[in-house]
Amino acid sequence: MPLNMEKNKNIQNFLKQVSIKDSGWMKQAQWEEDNEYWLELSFRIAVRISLTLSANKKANVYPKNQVELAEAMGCTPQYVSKLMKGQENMQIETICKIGRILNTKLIEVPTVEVKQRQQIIRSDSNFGNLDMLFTPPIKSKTEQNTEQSAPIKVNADNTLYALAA
Amino acid sequence: MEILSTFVPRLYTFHYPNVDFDELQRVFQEWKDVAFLTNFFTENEQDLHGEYSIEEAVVTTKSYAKSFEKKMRSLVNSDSDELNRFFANLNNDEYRVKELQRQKAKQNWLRLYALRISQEDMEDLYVITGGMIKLTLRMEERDHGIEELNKINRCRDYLKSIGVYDLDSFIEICL
Repeated sequence: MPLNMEKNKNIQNFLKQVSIKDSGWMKQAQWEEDNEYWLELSFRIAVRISLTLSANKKANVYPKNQVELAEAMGCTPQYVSKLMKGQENMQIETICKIGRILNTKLIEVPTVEVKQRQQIIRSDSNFGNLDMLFTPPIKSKTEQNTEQSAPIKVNADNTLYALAA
Repeated sequence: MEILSTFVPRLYTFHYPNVDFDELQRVFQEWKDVAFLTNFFTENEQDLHGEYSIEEAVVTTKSYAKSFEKKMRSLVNSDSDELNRFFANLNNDEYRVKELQRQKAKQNWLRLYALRISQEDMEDLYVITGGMIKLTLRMEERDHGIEELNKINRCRDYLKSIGVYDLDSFIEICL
């Protein structure tokens, strides 16, 4: 049989065996792209959990592995295994719970300092402590009217300034 | 053993029995799976030569996988030349074109392995057999590399069994 004739059947023979099913690669890739905004965080949390468990194992500290972590969390090892893939949309409660069990911070949000105004505590014998922060004193209605809402004028060059009352 | 088509024209992938995903999907999932990556780099930490911590290796692998994914997606409407450039012969010192030739595609330390089915006057087809993280010079140096080589060879045998011959075995049959 000529060599070329036999060779030409290769692709035909191959294509006969190709399934009607497609690879799931593209569907998965598209899902990951659509959910990238939270998947990245889930991945990093899983990395931190995984490394903390490894460090615990070396130091013989509980929990040392996924099974013990599941036990401490009161959930199934299958659930922990799913979390450890880094593609799970975890609840804040779950993240905090794991962080507390592993004694590590898994997520951090920049905090804003809460400033509190302190009221003057008046008493007959004491008219306030000079070290305290004072809130602006309550003004009379006449005073308020003169100060409130100074009109805003727009200049020809579009700069804004408040007119003095 | 099943052969599935992919989103890339002329690119196919094997789906092995008792495995949840086809090989193309499976390897990319592994490269983003924290548990898999942490275990892998813990077991192969000596191959990182202290250049990466395990955490760095895990995060780096995911970023390589994303780059590889981008490269793959650019093949959606590719012509055969682009696919031929995407793959290269598995053995760097192999220059002769053979049928059922073992191929690789790479992105940093990530590898996809495939077999090329070529035929005169027709565009080449590629079928993915697996993939791995390659940290050593030669695949044979590590068990996971040997396993990938074995998979490629088993796939070649399978293709031959369905009538896709390589040139060498055809000559043997004729003799």
